[in-house]
Amino acid sequence: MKRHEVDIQELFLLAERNFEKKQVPQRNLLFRLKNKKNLIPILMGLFSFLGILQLKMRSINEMAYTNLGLFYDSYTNDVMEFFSYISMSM
Amino acid sequence: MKQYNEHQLISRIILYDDHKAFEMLMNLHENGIKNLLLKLLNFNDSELDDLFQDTSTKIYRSIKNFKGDSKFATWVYKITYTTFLNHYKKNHRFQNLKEIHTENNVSKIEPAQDVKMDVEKMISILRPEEKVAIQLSYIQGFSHKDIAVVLNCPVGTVKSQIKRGRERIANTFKTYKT
Repeated sequence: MKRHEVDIQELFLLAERNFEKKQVPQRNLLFRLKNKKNLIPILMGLFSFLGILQLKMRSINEMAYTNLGLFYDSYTNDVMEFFSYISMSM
Repeated sequence: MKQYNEHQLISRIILYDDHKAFEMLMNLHENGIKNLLLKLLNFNDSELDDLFQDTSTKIYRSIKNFKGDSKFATWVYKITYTTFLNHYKKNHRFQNLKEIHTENNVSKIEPAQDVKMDVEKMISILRPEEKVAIQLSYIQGFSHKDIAVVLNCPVGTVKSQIKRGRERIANTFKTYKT
């Protein structure tokens, strides 16, 4: 390349701008766990999730037992009434 | 996403209308297109993003018409240049394109404080076709034949445009130094 060609190339290169997008490296969970600063929010999130899950489970169980209890009570009442009715008729 | 080469990306866009592939393809050419547009716009950043968006849309819409007669980059720069010309005609309807680019008279250029500004001013005095020819030849490494496809003119015209552009800058530089 001739000297004047190099000059004009340099001139155009000086006016070049970098528009390339900076690629953010994708970090996996293992990398995040290695970093101790990230461990605290991860553990806090995990415990709060487990806490909510436990509460949910308890309320579901309570609901189930209550319904079962009510059913049992109504069933026994019906049976008792039936037997009392029979005994009275006899 | 898996790494694909240019041909594979083009195939994916045409066959599956793959948007991600198009994004990757544009990433390959974004820097070159934007630098050419910036010079054509006389380093006016405000219109750059809109023009790049227009160019990308046109490339996406007409990629199915790309037959591979020329290099994909040549085709892309041809669309870029056409988009610029259309944009310029639309926005500067009452001004002649050549007048605009020659109105920056050589004698008007005064030494600026910033070197980058001086360089930008020097490039701004060139005509659009001279900028395209020099940019593609010296920065992108295109052959004169490919530049002729982009500018839609004979190879001889490309050579004379590069020469004229060089002379114009040399003259500006002489006036600038004195």
